[in-house]
Amino acid sequence: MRPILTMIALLLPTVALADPKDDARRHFKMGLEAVAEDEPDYNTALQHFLAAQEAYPHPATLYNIARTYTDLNQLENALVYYRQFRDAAPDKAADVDPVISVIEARLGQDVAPVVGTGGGPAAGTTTVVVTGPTAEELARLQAISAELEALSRAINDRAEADKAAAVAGAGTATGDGTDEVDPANVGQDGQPIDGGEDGTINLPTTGFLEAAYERVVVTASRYGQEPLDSPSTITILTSEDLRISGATNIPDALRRVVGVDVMSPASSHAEISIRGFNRELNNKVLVLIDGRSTYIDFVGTTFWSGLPITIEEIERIEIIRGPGSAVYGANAMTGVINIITKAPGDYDVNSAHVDSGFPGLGRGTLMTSGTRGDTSWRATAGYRQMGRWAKDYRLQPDDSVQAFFPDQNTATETVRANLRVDRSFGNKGFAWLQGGFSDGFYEFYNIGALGDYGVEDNHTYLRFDAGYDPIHVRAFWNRNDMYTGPWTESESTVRTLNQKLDSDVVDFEIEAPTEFKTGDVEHKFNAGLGYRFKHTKFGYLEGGFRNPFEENHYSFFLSEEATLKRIKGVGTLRIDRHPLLPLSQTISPRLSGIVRMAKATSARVTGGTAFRAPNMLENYMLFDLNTSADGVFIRDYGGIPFEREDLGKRLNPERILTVEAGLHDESSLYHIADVAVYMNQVSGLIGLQSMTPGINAYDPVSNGIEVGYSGWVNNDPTYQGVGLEAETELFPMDGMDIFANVDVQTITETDGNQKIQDKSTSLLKTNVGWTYRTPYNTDISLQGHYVSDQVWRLREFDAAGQIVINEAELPARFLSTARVGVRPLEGEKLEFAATVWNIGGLFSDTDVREHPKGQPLQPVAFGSVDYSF
Amino acid sequence: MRFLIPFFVLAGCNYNAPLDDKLPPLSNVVSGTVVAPVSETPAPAYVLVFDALNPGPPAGTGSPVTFATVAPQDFFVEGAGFQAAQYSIGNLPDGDYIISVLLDRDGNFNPFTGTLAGSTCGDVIGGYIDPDNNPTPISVAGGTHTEGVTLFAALDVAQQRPAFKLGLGEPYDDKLNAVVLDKETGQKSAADQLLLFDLQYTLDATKVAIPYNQEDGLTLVMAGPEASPREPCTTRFPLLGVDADGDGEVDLRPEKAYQEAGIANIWPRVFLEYLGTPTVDEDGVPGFDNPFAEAGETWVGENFPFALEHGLGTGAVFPGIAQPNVPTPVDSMPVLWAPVAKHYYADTSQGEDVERFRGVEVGVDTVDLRVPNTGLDAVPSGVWRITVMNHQGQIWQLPNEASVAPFNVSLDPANYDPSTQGGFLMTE
Repeated sequence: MRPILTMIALLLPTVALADPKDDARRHFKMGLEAVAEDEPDYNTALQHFLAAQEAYPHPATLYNIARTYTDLNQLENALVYYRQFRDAAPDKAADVDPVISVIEARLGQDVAPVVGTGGGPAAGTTTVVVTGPTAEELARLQAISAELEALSRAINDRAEADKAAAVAGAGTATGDGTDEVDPANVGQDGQPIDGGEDGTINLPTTGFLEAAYERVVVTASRYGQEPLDSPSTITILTSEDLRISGATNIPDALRRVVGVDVMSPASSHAEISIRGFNRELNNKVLVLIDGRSTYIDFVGTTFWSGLPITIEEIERIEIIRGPGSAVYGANAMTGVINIITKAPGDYDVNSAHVDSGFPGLGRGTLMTSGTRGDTSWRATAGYRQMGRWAKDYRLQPDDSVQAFFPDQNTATETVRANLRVDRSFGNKGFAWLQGGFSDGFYEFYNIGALGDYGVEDNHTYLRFDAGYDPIHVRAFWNRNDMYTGPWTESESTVRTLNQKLDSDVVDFEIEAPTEFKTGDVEHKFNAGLGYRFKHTKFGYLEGGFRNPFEENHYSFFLSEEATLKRIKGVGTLRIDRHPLLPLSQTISPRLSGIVRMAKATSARVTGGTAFRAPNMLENYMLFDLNTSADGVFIRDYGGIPFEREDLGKRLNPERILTVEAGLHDESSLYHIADVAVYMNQVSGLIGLQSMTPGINAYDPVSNGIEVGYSGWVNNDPTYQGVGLEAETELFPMDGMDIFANVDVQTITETDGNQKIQDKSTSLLKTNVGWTYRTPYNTDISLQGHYVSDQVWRLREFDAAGQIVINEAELPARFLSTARVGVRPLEGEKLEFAATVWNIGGLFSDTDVREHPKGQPLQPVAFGSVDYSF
Repeated sequence: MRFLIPFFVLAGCNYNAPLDDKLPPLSNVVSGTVVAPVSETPAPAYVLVFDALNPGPPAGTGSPVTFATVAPQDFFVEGAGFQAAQYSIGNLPDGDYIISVLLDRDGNFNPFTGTLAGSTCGDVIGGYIDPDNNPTPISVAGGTHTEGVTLFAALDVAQQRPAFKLGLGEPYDDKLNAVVLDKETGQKSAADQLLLFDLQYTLDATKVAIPYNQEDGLTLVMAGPEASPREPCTTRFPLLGVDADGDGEVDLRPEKAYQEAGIANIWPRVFLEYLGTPTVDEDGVPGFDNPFAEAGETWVGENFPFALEHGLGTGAVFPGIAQPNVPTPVDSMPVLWAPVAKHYYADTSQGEDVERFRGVEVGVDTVDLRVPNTGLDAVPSGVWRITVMNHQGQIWQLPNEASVAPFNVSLDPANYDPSTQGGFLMTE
């Protein structure tokens, strides 16, 4: 039989093996629908399950194929797939071994197990004639039956345990977006597996597995849930989305997400905001990797080029639009981006990926992942370099400026590596240890007059997760060892801005999610405590690099989700104890109501607040800012000016209040759609104040004369934002995906009686994309990204040191991307691809900038090679 | 597809980023060494850069376009009684510059106020000079770094700045604390070849000290002690007749117009700057309404000490100038108002228009002393700042910051009368 199966597999047309989960999901569900009818159509179901397995292998699909073959009484094929299921999900072997034994017994043969999880189906196969057992066989089967009963009880116990474990682990963003096979479904709800009255063996009539390819989000509530149940507006980018987008960095991939603003002043620097308020070193979006904060606490931003992660190891990215402080505390002000990596062992492969092209682009990733017994691992190593979009000067040896990096053509060069090891302990316990680093340099644009900067960044982290139902603890340590300064600095500079920076953040969190029922109401309750220690030394802070600043933060959070039939209420509250802020300003509630209007359609209303705490630079800053005259400086103070107690404490957190309503629909197998409307009220934005002039004597320490001081204050204006976001994904046919989204928003700045339209954020943004995975081992994808014109209102110092608003217009822009990939080898383990980003840049000399002071975007064209082995 | 791979690899390895034309050009840097006599008193050095076309005192009335500082601890003894330190100054647009240096040994230099700018007694000054001790302009362009520009600071400043207050001559308005010159009643002077009017005022040297201490910073002391321990100099006007050609007589002013007018080269100089008409804002803060300021235009002028009493030409006998080139301290200085003023537009060109501002006929700019039809009424009415500059470039101005409680410069309340430094010259 095996040769026959192999031949059939080779003769089947090979459709793309490129992670088309959407196709797989559709076929999987259509298969389930076929068997759920009053008169199940097992042949149709089989074809769909086989198509799903071809599109994207999944253990649950293998099981359902086996199950369908069983119903079609094609036991030999069923046996093959049960064995494949067992091999694909070794931890479930105990669940199906009894079934396999029964079938083997009925077939009266000892068929060797089939190795591998993929492979072609056995569509038209031989009918197996089953005869009654012999007395010897019957005796053996009766023994098996007894054993199976014991196993069945064990399975029940394990199923309960796994349910609890799933709740405990969700907050750490495990999983790949599809639920794992639930062993409770196997042999649990069907008839007992034993001998029939007629002496034949009753085949297992367990239900089909319904949990596969499901879209699961974990970021909105710290546990896994369908997007339909999410209290927040959320978008998911899958690994397939990332791959097919051709993006070489995460921010570029995020451009296509509705409501997200991506602004790249340099090829190595991107700022991401959600629902407006973008700027250099944007500080209002919390970025997580597997739930671990990557927020650079001392300056309040995310350095995307310094993240220790490669695109190839990302399983999906969840983007929460709207306040997230109720779940994640400070700094999740306008949204949360959670990057979820591939779980170790999910991909028992080694892979290598290389990009090379223009401008100065070179990128490579090596990854290995595997499982042995209860232990899984994943190791990755990556390299990335990128040329600058433009340079300020063609520096000559006798020029008057010195460069932070000698190479004025390269914007970034980094290496990074990660190692993660997971281990399970029985049914209820797990531990997860991960460490990694990113080391290199990159260019970025600092705030305001500081302008173009460079940084050498050595970022390391260590993370530990452990759980034993229902307790989950998590700890991580983030360390940044940096050296930063202006990208170019005049050789005359007396007070150099080149400074060293060390930052350590240690975070510990414990939570205990539980589920219970009171009457007809199902509850998911979670409560936890957190602690974070920050230690920073930075040359821009008071006392300079030698003076460390330390902070201790504490947090308490709880959430309750109550479900009564179609109605769900979610209440979340988090209280952060910040050492410099009153408790009243760090309480973050969120209330949501969700109604399942249909099986796959839900409506939600959510209201909540969030805050951004002043970062350490804003609190403790003290440095001398150069002016155009080398002998003159402005002294910049933080919000806690220890040197000048007379200035008093000056900073409160920035706050946001948001009310939003949304509708999510997955009612057909051919689309997903979401619409959201929201209103924001933002206050207390932190910015530099006008210089207070003074005439002072020469300062021998600073070697100059202070002409005044400035510092961070909460600005008076409040901002009212109103917006509409709509997005849809369409799956019209196998291999084809289409997405489109649009968002419209206006932000009004109110300062006293004066109202101004803040046009720094585009009024209109829209994205469209089309992907076709052809049957000929070739993928084609096109994407377009349009943002309407912007008018940035730059807060700058005038000659007298007073803050003035300088308007700078950016015209509307359209960025398009095309990618073609081909996999010439059998098994599709090797792929060649060509990608062009910003196609218009190839044909136009018009500068396209995403920040008034940023560099003009270049087209990016590169080739890729990807090989799995 | 595969044939493209080598192309991409090559493209990544040979990338040369384009130049962003939007960015401003590189500014220029000048660097070198400051050389100064060894002193027991550590002092910072100020490297002052002047536009060569608008030099600072004593060659002109320009202010530094920028300056840099050299910390005292950066100096090292180089032997032979000299110490040296590296300096560097940047952000210079393309152009020609005169670079001077000031060692602020008494710690009271501040370039942002008239009262604190400039050298004081005890400081050491110098600059980039040629073998004849004349300032040498430095040309910079194209964002280059000009190295090796050595600044010699070797001239000890022996006298205090020419601080003064307005004398109670005629006409003097006590209420305004000002000398008021009535343009309508002005009469021609005896020096009838010039358009000089019988309008004069007196500048009286006054005692000023600006001691420095670590706790209080700069302390401006008016009419107080004669001198602090760090300023052991009296305040008087050093009257000096210049005899550059060595003929034993005071020379004529080097400027062509003055030479033709026969004006002797006498120090101190007295300069005027139009401030506008006096105003008081809603908070009671005095100020000036200058219709020219918004357009970036200025009126400047010059008056002449002793001119009425002793004539301006060569051969005139000035008290105390028995020997040219030797300064003679005097306590009081009569000054003659002359309608000598220049009207500059924002682009530094001299104006020629009439009826440009608020219907005021400013007439033809009074740049030529010999133009008979140019009268005092050609200059705008209002307040003029008086600046007295001595031959070493030291200056004093009225009104100055002392009259309006300047920023965080502390004042000695026991000895300070702000009205004395709030006085001004006003034309009506």
